[in-house]
Amino acid sequence: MKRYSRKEIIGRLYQRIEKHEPVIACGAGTGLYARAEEKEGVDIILAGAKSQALINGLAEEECILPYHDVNEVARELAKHLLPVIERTPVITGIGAYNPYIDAGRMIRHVKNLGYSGVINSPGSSAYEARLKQSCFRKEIEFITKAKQEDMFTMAVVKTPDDITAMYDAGADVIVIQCQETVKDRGEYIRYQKLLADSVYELSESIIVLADVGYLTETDDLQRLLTETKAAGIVSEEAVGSLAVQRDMSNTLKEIINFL
Amino acid sequence: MLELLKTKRMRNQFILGVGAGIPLTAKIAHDTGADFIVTHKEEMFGADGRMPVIARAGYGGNCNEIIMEQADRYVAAANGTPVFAGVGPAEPYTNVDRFTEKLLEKGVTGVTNYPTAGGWVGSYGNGIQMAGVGYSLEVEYLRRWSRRGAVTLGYCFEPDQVKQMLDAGVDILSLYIPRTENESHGWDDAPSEDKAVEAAIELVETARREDKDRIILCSGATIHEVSDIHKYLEDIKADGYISDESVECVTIDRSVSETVARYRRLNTCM
Repeated sequence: MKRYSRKEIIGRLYQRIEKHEPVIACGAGTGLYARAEEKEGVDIILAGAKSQALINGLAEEECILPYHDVNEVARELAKHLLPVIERTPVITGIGAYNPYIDAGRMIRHVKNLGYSGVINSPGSSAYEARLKQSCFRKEIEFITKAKQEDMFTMAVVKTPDDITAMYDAGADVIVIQCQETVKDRGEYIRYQKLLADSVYELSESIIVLADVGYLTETDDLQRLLTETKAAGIVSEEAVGSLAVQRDMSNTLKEIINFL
Repeated sequence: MLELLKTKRMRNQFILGVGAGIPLTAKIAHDTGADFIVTHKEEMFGADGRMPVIARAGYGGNCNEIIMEQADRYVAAANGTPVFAGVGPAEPYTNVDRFTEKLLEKGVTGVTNYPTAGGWVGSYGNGIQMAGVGYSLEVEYLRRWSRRGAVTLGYCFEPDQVKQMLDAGVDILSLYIPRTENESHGWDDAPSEDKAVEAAIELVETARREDKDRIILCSGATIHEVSDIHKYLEDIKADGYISDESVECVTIDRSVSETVARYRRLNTCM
């Protein structure tokens, strides 16, 4: 396990971008996922309540329901993922609106566990307007604080307002997410593009990653990258659950078809 | 559940049990129509990217506590498909029967002896057997729970163990097909494929001779492709198969790797 500094990670991401290769960030719910992802050269491994919900057979949205503490999950995943990872930065998902955490202490704590950065996921951005307002403010504060602690930060955003706020907070990477709002593939990509464009209005140089959501077809993924002009992608459900479901289901069917 | 399996066997339909180390596997098994799910610490170790056999050592938590903690997730993901939980009856500080009652209250259908001492050989294997915490303790545990009406699944590695488990009244036998490649599983050197088939046939025949009505499944074997399982079963003639980490972990590894490799081939416009 290697913990990377903020500067090192950003340097690695720019190396990728200069080679015209996509930056890839994937969620990992167990050490086996993390190992496979590292072997194939992902740039960032994401570890949080979302990735664990997926290996539990749940929809990723379910992880924000009040049946566990998302930050405890982040802590627990450190034990499963970090010892088997050798050269990939692992970024942990923090629920910043948890009323029982102190942002600064939490950031130092996950740093000590071996995480190389933080992301505001699972986040409040799917909540209705008033609840979101107070929760998202905490997420912005959290990202600001993480930056002060020189921790690499990724900010999940869902609206142009989110983008402005997270840009001002100094997030290193902007992750555009909209799968709860848009189901149709074409519309999904158009909405991603709309949000990506509003990032470029603020800055041409900031790293933008597009969440692939439920997109699994190569053509759709390529269209997503081409239209959003994003530097790369984030994949949680597609890699953590959809791909495995399809493949394992086929294997089991094949075994059952023994005559 | 047993009636269903017996009907399937009478109709010569293949019975499939699926070893699950993450609840997602239990969900997939249910969606695909598997007959039951088996979960225990060793499967969980495999799905976490660790060598499964290390789960038998005192690392990464108490196998019983882990099963109790995780049982709800597997039962929920299995969505009605029966779930077997692997219980270690040699735990010194717990009343294993009370523990099992609680486990069944959570909706677990049956219990099995995994992690097991059944595969340990050599002086260590003899040592734990002589200390009274070996395979015979597992047999007695399943005997008690067969009598108490739980569905029981017994893992066996040798003909003598088959006889013990049958005598204990377990409902389903899982007979081990030795792995043909050294995978550091803690027992004897890997045999050739012929020898592995021979050993498994001996187990199945022993079981059939003793009781021709019991449900007899196989597990283990070195599996690279699904056809390997079929090839073994053609010769061995069991009623079905219980997949383990060699199906679950290989599939997860393959699908995650292929997905990421596909991402790698995308082009950016930067």
